[in-house]
Amino acid sequence: MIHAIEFDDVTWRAGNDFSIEKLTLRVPQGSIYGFLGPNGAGKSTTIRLMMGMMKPEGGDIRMLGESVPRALPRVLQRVGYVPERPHLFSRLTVKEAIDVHASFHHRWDALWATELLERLDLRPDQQIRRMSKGQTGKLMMLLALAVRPHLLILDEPTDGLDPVIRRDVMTTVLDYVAETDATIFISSHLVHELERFCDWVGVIDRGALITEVPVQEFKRGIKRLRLLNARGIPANGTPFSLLDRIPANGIRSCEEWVVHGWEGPHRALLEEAGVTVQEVVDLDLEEGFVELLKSVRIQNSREDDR
Amino acid sequence: MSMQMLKLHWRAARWPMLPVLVAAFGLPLMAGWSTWEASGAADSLEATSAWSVIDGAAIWGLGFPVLAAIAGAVIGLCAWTWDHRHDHIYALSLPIARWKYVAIKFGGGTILVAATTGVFALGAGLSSLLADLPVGIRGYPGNLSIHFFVATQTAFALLFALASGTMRTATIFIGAVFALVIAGQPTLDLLGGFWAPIGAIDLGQLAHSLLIENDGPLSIFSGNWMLFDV
Repeated sequence: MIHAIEFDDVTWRAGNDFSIEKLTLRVPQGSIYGFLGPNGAGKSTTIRLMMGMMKPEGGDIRMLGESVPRALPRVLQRVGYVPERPHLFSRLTVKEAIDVHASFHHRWDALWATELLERLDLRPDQQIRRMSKGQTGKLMMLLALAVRPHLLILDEPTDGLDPVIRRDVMTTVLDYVAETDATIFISSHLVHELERFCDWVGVIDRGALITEVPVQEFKRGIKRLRLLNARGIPANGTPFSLLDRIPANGIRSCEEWVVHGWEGPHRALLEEAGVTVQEVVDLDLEEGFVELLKSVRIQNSREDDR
Repeated sequence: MSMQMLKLHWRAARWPMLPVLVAAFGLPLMAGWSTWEASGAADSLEATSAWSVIDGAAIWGLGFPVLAAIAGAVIGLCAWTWDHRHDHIYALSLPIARWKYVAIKFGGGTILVAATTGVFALGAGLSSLLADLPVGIRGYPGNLSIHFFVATQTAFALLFALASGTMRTATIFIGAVFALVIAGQPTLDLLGGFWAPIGAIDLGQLAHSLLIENDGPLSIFSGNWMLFDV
């Protein structure tokens, strides 16, 4: 498989407060890769390392087949980037911001930019400082798309936008991907939004990658089981991993298990042990993400205690 | 790309530069205007008139290096205004090598320095043309403008470098300079009590000789700034 982004054992530290330790990441070319994590998990830091804004202390980063930050200017010609917060010079008009941006990009498509201007309902003479958050978000997306990128890096691109603008922006991005087969790396905490269009998902917490799998696999493997007579049954030794175990609605003999790696034949294994499987519920990406995060944190705190 | 960077620099600097440009045009004119008074007041005595003109030019000449320092500082400080406001994120996301970005920005600033010098040269030229100069006194608008350009460019380069860093770096640097100015000499005097050679150091004199005398980096701000001279 060819990868648009590759991180190999990347390490970066910000004093004693936060660090990314030996992060290994693979974003398949042509995929829409959702990068999930709670606030402060290291999503934006990872993106800044990709963009060459910060230098890793160790490890290798390759983007579109080239080493970063060594080949950065060449790589960035093929990358569209929407940062977490607006970064445009506020005293400029939309047209001026477009002119400035276009002057740095060899691949700038002026015709496509004009088309996007209309499509996203932006006026060229509008001053950026007088624009709403939604309009600024749309302008940033326009600037990122009009360079005709092979790789689009979006850091919380729809954060704080109203649903209508969010839909406009994401529809524009998806149309572009459908047309060009570009790779999208999108970081967001709006998990259910990512679920609609991502085909890969990576989860980061406290600077470490917890999982990186195709979305379907992620969702398929995580289930909530409603079990009878499961009290006292040890979960170790089962072919799936138990992420969470809670008594259900105060009923003594009933428990709810959140498991990862569940497959149909596992029901028989439980029933052999005298457990009745009442219900197997598919979790959506958001629930799965929360459960996975909870279990990893519990596991980490146990290891810390030891 | 360079044109766009220059435009951005001008957009950031234009309002603070407006009074500087007015002064750059007006100050040499004022120096010339003083000659009308000087030569008019003593037209019967040519020598007295010549000295009055030179005296007047010398007084106005004190303002030119100050103006050059202010012009350079304004252009230098405004070079990075927008980059700092957004933590340099926009600049860092552009597909251009960092040294090239800085070089283009510096080049843009140099053009603004040249434009300011152009305005100054216009004022100085006009002033020389209109001046009522006694025999033996000449106007030096060209030389003065070159002097002004180099001084402005020096101030610009210093402030450009200082402003390119973070607020923390700038604060540390300015704080260190202030600390040296305020506490430097008393500290040396105090230490002189233990070891006499240290007490003999005159910090002001040392700074002057290092920075201004003997072709020091700021020596351009000293020397002859006369628009009218023999």
